[in-house]
Amino acid sequence: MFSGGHGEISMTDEQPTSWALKVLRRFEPILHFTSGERFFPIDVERYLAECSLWKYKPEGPPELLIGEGEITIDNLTTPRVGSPGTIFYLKFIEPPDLVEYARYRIRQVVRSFSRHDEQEMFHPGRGRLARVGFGSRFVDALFSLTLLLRGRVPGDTATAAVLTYKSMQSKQERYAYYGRVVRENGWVILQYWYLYPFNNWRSGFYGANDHEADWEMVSVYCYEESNTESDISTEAQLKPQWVAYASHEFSGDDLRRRWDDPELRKVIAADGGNHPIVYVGAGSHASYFSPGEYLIELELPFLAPLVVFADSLHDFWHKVLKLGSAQPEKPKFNIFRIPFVDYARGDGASIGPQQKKQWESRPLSIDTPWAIGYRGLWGLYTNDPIAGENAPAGPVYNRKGDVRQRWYDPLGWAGLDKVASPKDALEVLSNQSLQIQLRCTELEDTIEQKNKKLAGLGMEEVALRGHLHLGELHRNHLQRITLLSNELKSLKHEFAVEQLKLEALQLQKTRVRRGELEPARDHIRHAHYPAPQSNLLLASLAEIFAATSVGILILAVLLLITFARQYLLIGLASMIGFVILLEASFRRRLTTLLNSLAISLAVISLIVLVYEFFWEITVTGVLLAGLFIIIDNLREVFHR
Amino acid sequence: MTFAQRPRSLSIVLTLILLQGLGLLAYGLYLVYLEGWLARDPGTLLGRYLPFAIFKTISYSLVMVLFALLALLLASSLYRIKWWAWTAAISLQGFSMLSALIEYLSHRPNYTGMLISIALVFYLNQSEVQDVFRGSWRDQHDR
Repeated sequence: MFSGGHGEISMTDEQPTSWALKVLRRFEPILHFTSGERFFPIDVERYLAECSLWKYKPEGPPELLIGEGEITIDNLTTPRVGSPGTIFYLKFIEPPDLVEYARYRIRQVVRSFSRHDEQEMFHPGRGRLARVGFGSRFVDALFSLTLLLRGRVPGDTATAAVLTYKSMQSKQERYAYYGRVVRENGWVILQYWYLYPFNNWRSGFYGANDHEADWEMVSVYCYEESNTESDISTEAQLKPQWVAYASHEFSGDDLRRRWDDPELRKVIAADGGNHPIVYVGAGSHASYFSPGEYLIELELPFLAPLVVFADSLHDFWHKVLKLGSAQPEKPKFNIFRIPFVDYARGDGASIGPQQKKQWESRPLSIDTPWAIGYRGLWGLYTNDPIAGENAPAGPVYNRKGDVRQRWYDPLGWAGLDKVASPKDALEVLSNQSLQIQLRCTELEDTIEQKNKKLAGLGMEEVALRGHLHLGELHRNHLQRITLLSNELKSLKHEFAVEQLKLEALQLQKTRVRRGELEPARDHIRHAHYPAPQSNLLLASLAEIFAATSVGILILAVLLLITFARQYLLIGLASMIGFVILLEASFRRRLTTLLNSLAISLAVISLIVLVYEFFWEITVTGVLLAGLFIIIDNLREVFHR
Repeated sequence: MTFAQRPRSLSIVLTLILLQGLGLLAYGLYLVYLEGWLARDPGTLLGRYLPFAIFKTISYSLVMVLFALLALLLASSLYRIKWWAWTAAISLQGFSMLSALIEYLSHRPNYTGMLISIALVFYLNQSEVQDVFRGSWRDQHDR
C-alpha cells in the first residue's frame, strides 16, 4: 500500500522480483529518436555523480548543500526542512570551460558544412512560424521577449550539457530505463520511466523551453489470463491490452491506444516479446505513436482569459449558431496559444530490442530510496514564473512536492480507471446486473406498497368530498395524493430506466462472451496527429515572409510614427490588411479570409440595422409573437 | 442533384441572390433614368456640372448593373453547384455590405440591401450549404 497525497490508495506496488523484471523486459518499448537528438535515457547513479545539491531561498542567494561528485543516495534522501518558498534542487551543469565551449561550437559549424554526420544533424524543415497565422506569430514574438525578463536556463548550458553527456557516454555507453510493476483493479501496469539529463527543446529545436533533467514515462497495461502467479508460465500469459505515452502535460483517455489499434506500431521479437514503438520528440522527449512533426500549443497564464474568450466564440459559432462546416477531425485553433513544433520523426538513433542500442533495465518501486526519499527538483531551478524552464521533480513527485497522478493513480492518469480488464469484464458486468436487479426488486416492492396507499387515499378523498365540515381535511388529502402520486411517478420512471440498463448489460455480456471488442478508437476525443507536411503556396517565400513579417511590421510602425504620424492609423490598417491578404494567399486560406471579412461586415451591418430600426424591430417582434399565439390557439380550436 | 434534393438553405440562398441581382439591376437602371433626367435640367445642381454628373451617373450605374449581372450569373452557378460559386458569392456579399456601409456613412442608406446581404452571409455559412460546395470542390479536384 502506498500513502499518496490523496489518501490511502489500494494499489499494490510489485516488488522487483525476477518475474517483474522478466515481464518488463517482455514489453519494453523501442524508442525512435529524431536525427540531431543529443540526450538519451541515463541511469540515476551516473547522473547524480555529475550533480551538486542546492537550496533556493526566496531571500538571499542559493546555498550549496552537497558539492559535485559528493552526492550519494544516502545524503540525497536525508530529510530536509526549509522555510516556505524553499526549494531543493540538483544542478547538473556548471558554466562550461570557455576553450572547450569554443572548440565545440567551431566543430559544430564545420560539421554543418560537411555531410559526414548527416545522421546526427537536425534539419528543421518547414518552421513552426510558417505553420501558423500572423496573430499567433505576434503572440509568439511577445513570448520570446518575456524570456529576457523571466528566469531561464542560460544560453550556453545546453552546449555544456552536450559536452558533459558525451564525456559520460564515452566512458561507458549505457541506456537505462526504470521499470515499475503495479497491480490495480485486475490490471498489471508496467511503467517505463526514462531520465534524460537535459531537455534542449528551445535551444536545439526551436521549442518552448530548456531545462535540466527530464522524466518521461510509457505505460503498458496488461491482464493475466491465469491467476497462478507463482507459475513460471504466467509471464507468457500476461496479455497487453492498452498502452499510454506521456506527452507534455496531457492526461486522460486521449493518451492511450489499444494494443490492436493500427496507429500503435510494434515489433515482435524472436523470444515472443512484443514491443511498442515510441517516437520521441526532439529535445522535448515527449512520446508519440506515429512519426511526424507535431504542432504543440502552449498557453500562457496571462493570456488564459483571451484563450477562453476565443474558444467560446468558436463554440458559439459552431455549436449554438451551427454555422461553418462540420469537420470534427480539424483541431480547434486559437491564436492566443503559442505554437511550437515537436519533431518526432524517428529518423535518428533507436534504443530497444532488435536495435543497435540496448536497454539496461533498472527496478523502480516504493522501496527505491532516491525515488521516494528525494522530493526536490532533478535539475536547475531558474525561478521561472511559468515554470517551463524549471527542472521537473522525480517520477513520484511534482514540482510542489506532492505525489504525481501517474504514480499514485496510473489507471486514472490514462483514463483506464473506468475500464474493467478483459479478465474481469464478465464478473464486473454480472455484479452490476445483480445490483440493478436488487434495486429493481426493491423498487417493485415500494411501488406496490405506494400504489396501495395511493388507492386508499383516493377512496378516502372521494368519501370526504362534499362534506362542508371536512373541507380542511379534504384539502390536506388532496395535497397528500398529489405528493404521493408524484413520488410514484418518479419511482416508476426509475424502475423503467433500471430495466433498460439491465437489458443493455445483458446485451453487453453476450458481446463480451463472444469476445467482441468495442471499436479501438472510440475513447479518443482529440487525437494528436502530425501536422501535414506541405500545403503552402510558394513554400520558401512563405517561410521567409513568416519569419520576417512581425519584425517588419514593428519597424514600419516605428517609421510611420517618426516620419508620417498623421497617417499612422490608415498606414497601420493598410499594412495589416496587406499582411493578412498575403498570409491567406500563402496558406491557401483566401476563402476563409473572405468569409471572415464578410461575417465581420455582416455583424457591423446588423448593429447598424438594430440601431436604426430598434423600435420597429421590437414592435415587429412583439406583433409576430402575438400573431403566432393567436394562430396557434385558433388552430387548436378549429382542430378540436 | 435535383432541385428537391438541394438543402433548403441553398434554395433560400438562390432566391436571395436572384432578388439581390434584380434589385441591383433595377436600382442601376433607375439611377440612369433619375440622374439622367436631373442632368438634363439646367436648373439643378447636377445640371450645372453636366460632364462630371454624366460621368458619375454612368460609372455608378454601370457598377450597379455590373454587380447585378454578376449576381444573376452567380445565381445560375450556385444553381449548378459550381465549386467556385460559394467563394464568389461570399465575396460579392462582402463588397455589397462594404458599399452599403459606405453609403450609410454618406447618408444614403440602403437598408434593404444590407438586410439581404446579412441573410445571405448567414445562409452561405450554414454547414449544409458549405458541405455541398466542398463536395463539389473535391469532385472537381479528384478528377
